[in-house]
Amino acid sequence: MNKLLGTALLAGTILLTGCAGKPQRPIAFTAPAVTAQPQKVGVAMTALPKVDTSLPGAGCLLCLAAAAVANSTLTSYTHTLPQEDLPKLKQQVAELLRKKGMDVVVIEQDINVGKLPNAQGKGPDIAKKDFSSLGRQYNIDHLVVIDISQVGFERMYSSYIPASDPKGAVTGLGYEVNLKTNAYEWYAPVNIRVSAEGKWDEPPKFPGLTNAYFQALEMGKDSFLKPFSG
Amino acid sequence: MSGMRTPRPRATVAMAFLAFAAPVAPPAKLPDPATFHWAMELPAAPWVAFRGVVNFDKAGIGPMNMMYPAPNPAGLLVAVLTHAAIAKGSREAQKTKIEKEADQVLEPFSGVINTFGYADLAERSKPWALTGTQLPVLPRGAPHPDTWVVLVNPVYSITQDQTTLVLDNTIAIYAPGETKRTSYINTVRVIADAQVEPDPLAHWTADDGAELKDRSAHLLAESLDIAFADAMAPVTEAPFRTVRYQEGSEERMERGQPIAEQCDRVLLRSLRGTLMSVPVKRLECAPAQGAQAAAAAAPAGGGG
Repeated sequence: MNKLLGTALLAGTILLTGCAGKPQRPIAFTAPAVTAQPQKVGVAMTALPKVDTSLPGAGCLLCLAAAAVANSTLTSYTHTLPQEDLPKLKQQVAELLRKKGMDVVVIEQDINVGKLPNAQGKGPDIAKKDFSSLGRQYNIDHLVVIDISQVGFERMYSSYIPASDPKGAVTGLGYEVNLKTNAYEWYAPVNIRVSAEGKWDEPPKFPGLTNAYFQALEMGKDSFLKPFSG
Repeated sequence: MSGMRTPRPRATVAMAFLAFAAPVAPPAKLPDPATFHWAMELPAAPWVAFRGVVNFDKAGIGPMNMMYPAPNPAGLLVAVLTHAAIAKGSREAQKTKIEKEADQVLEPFSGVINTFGYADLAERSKPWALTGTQLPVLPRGAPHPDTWVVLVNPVYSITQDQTTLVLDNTIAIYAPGETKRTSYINTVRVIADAQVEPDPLAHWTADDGAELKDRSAHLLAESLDIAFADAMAPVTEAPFRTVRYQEGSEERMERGQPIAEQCDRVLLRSLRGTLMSVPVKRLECAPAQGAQAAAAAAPAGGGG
């Protein structure tokens, strides 16, 4: 019995510590130093997600179903909202980099980071994926990536019960990788949440929440662009 | 500020603005304000309402999973309902706490705002009104057989950096003799330009709060001008866009339809249909231009 309990404890400890990897620290952007041979910077985006409502915390299947039904009117409305000029972010980043005197290439196709091979090297500020193939493909030395993973509304749940009102949400990550060393040179998580002013539950057009959504969009765009505009 | 009260030239500019805002004869909801008897009805409370500018972006508790005691389906239902009641109570309590914390910005102003009455506010607003009506105050509930009545409900907010006054005024207009059906109702928000004085508190509260009271009155008059113009003008069909503006030292955004844009101020209709006059930062707004715009202070103007 004691042996069984010990094995269970050991397995539990391994499982829990295995999940607790050290998170990547934020890194402020600094323009690559000007050298005799100019460095070329590529700017790319991952595929933009659909504008949607997310319900984190509705953990069990039944909870998720109940939360989805409770928020179905809002979710249907969310699907009608535009992404505005989010797809143009890479052009805007490129423009700001050019103003800093850098040689910039905008990568038109969305990149799929998940499909890149895992990096061989490990260490602080080293990317987990190997980006070097993109360097060869686009003949660039550095790659700036705008990776937006969530656009729309987010409503926290505690199992079946809402833990917050819905909020306008933009989540993403901006980073720059040195394609020779595969090290991050800029790393900036973006996590914007904006509440509706006054009441939020105003179907069918949800004006307060819609305003919060557009505020979150603007704040999200600012977060990605600000490091390059200083 | 009282020395700067020169309403007539500003009124001329404002009326020109109103004419520009309504270039074709609209299906007027209201008669010309200058041709009828008008009166203003004030809120029942004696003192002007103030609050701190509040932000609920961080409200809410984090996501978590919960194990419910469920001896049977009825037991599960009771557990879920109990959880819902507790969670709702916690969320409301959290919002109240955030509002109370925001209201702490009012404490240094208490000597002024606790003795600032609506009658004083209305009196101070008269010189600033641009629409040709000097709106005498009608006692609450008094009959008004030949007078159009403007019922105002102004609520002022002070930004957390103490630099800026924000007015939210719900304005309802009643035809002569009418007490129930409104001819017009809307909420107008006017955000003043931020004060750049090094000590904003001293600026607002000096001389028994003269600056705070006069600026509050100025905003009230502007909100009335905006409401009159809105009541007489056709509905705007301008495209929606996100307008960036200043509220104190912070940049804010609002999605809406711009109605009138000046060098340093925009009047827009929000997604809820309310009206907002907000100060904007414009690089091309030369100081002389800005001063001119402020002097015009038309429906979209002033505040600062």
